[in-house]
Amino acid sequence: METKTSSTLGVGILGAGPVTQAIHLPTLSRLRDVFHVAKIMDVDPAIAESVAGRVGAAWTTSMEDLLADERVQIVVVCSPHQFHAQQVIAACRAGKQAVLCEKPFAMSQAEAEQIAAVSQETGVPIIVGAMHTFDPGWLAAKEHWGDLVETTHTIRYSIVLPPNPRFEDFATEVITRPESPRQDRRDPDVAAGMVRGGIMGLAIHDLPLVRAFCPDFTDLEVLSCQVPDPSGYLLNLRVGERNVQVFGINTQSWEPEWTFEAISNTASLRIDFTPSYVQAGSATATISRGGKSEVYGPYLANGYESEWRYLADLARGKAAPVDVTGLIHDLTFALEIADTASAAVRATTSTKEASL
Amino acid sequence: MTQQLTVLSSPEADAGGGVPQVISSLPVSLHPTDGAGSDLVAVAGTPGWTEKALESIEAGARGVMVIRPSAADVTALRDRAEASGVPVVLDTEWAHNPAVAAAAPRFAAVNDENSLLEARVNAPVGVDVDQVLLAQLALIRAAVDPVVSLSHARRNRHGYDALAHLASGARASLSAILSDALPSSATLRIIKPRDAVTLAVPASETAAPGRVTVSGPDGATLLPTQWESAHRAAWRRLHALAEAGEACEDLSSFAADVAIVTGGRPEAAGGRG
Repeated sequence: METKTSSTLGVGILGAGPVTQAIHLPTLSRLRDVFHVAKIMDVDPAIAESVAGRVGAAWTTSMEDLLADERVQIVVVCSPHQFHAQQVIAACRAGKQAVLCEKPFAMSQAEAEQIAAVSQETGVPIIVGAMHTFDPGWLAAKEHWGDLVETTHTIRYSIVLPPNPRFEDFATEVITRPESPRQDRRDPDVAAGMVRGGIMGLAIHDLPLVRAFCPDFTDLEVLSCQVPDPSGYLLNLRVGERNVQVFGINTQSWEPEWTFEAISNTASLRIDFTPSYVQAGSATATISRGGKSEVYGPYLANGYESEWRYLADLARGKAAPVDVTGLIHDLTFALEIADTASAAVRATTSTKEASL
Repeated sequence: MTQQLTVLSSPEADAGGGVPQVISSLPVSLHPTDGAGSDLVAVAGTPGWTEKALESIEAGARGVMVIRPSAADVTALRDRAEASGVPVVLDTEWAHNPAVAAAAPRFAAVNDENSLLEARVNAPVGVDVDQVLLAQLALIRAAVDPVVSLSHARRNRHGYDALAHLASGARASLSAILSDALPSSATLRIIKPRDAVTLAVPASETAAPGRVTVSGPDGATLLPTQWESAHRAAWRRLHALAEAGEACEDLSSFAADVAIVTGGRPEAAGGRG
């Protein structure tokens, strides 16, 4: 049973699927001195009741009911992507202290601009659950990479992703999971859907990191796009003057890999992230230049924990809000890549293979 | 019993291929000489190397080692070498690392038309990009399969990204990143739904081992490491070929790879630079 006191912040969660069960509740259990879960909403009453019961929270099937509850001070949006914008806006209008929205925080630029306007009008701060942007390994690298943002010419971002349940099951006991049927990547529509879904569902995690190294992020060209077997994406991009490769593959393997690299003529940054879901500490960042390498991390806290601690500071007015314009730019960048790459794959996928 | 063969080298070949260091590490098999009539000749792969190699064969060399060959028309040299049964071994940056041969049967098990080979090399700023690509193609040929078609998605002073097909029908993504921050190295990887094979190869002058990792449902295995430089392994091969009086296919393979490099250039394919 969660301890509920007036000194901790009440959290309301919209959507009680695997992300809530395996990420946010375990993270919040590490931060009991700061938060308590006040209420959980899910359209499926059995799931809402069961998940809420784990933490001694109230439950509901109604977003309006959760937002009207004064015990809820912070709202977390973990619903399917298409509901994110409307729920974030509703939470702002309900006068909550802060909103955490799982990525992507909208599915179009218009939605993102609406959110920004409402956030500004209501003064409710919003953060997006791009946990790697809060990862202590990334933040340490940021402090020490010097002029790498200006001098980087090549960026590599690669994810080898085993099935999520391998990690969810170490984080919690999940009671419901979405179905993910095997699809034929040689079908043009399927290939296009895989690429778009892969970018907006997986690559989007670290596209803000990529954008941080691409000052001319609106000058974007998809040079090639392929769909690896059985699913994923392999993109070569030109972003301004930067050469960017974004790779993700879904496997049945046990062996995860999640890396980000930024390379200039004289320096390189490599970050190895820990898998999602598990509380396995931070990323490890390595900066190499002049024959020397500096290693930062791993630190005990991961990006999830850091993101929640920041959220607490935001709610209590101890931290400056995230620039919503930056969040919009992150989203616009991801959408542009997703739309262009998926259209290219649809146009060029033959019955033999999915490639541009 | 191993036959000791004499080696004639040049300062350029010594600089590019560490020839004196290799000879000193194979003292029973090789012996340096400054005079004419040497058994083996080391030629630097700078422009004009095919003529020098041809001259060496005509002067009676039993074998020729070309250090880091640049793109060239090898037709006349290949014909002469084949006719005289002289092996001409091409010492490209990575292909001779002993880990490559160890990786080959592992890659063969995962190389099919549904596979995607990821190939990346790190090379110093300012190198000849064609030469880097040729060395990468030689590595892929030795470890996995020949590249049969290639088109550049991007090529500039910082490197390249290219899409390719292997003889098996597998697709490949080839990249080169030019930076002085990273040691010269190459990696190859094929990830299948349940299995994966990864090869990481260091620069040719180091005896630091290449690493072959084979992953599957039961875990990952690092194959036994072999602490021999690619240069030394190339010379052992040349010695064995010359001793047996056997020619080799290096020049024919190189000719095919040169055609791939030339045909894959952005200006040739009308692609983006």
